[in-house]
Amino acid sequence: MKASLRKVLTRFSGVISVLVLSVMTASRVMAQCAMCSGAAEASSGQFAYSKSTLFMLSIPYLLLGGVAGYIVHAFRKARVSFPDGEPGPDPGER
Amino acid sequence: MDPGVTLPPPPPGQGNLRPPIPNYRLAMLIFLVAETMLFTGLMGGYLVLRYSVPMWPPEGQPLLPPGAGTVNLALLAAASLGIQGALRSLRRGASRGALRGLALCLAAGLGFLLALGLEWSLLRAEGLSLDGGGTYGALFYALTGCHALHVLAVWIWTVSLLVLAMRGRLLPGRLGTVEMAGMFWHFVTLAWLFLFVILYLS
Repeated sequence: MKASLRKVLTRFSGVISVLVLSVMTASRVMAQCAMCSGAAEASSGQFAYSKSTLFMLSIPYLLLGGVAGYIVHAFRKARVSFPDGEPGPDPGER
Repeated sequence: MDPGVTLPPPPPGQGNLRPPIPNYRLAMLIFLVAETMLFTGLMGGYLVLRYSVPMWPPEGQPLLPPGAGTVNLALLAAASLGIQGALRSLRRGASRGALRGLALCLAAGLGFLLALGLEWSLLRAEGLSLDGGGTYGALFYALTGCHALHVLAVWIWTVSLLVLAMRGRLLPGRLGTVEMAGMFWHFVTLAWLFLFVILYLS
């Protein structure tokens, strides 16, 4: 498990680094071109746009992570409870 | 399907397997994810407009009373606890406890709607209206109004559950609809918590 995780991390280390750098320099990333960057820097609402964009960007990933985590948890729990394929109780009743 | 064709029997021990997550729960999760995105968009718009101006609330506009928001949060939490208690009672087959839980949920939900209506009328009297409140008023009424519509919808749903419970139609093995309503109540409570923080406390 640990070896496979290390393998995945090594393989995607470039993508992960870009993502981390993107978050760290979010205001620059949000201004996709020189014109946008200049407009954002001139605007008094730059802070507002940055925070709002970060907020709205983060929620889908949080939701996706939460739902995926719940699904993985439910499947693992089902496998641990009934490892040999025995029919379990109705999941709605658990 | 051709009636002459017979399907092979399922492997031993796997004829009655159920999915680890029931379909209704998965469907409700997907629906709530979509609802969350709706509120995220509204809150994102609020954050842009809120932090684009140096002074908030704008001059001459009333401050939102944090006490009212807290009371509303407590009422929604009571509604969530009520329906959760009802679900637990129904699973045990205790119909009296279920009726009590559903009644508590409905009373708290109605209390929330009435308290919000009262707050709206008081704020309107202080000058925070849709037409005269500018961006501040529009944002406040859009966010709280959208949330109140959701509460109203799940409240009506819970009334139907109470009627079913009184007729003895909510049986321990068929409680998907109660669980879904409970998930919706938890969602509106959580959504109000976020609204409370960004509208009343920030």
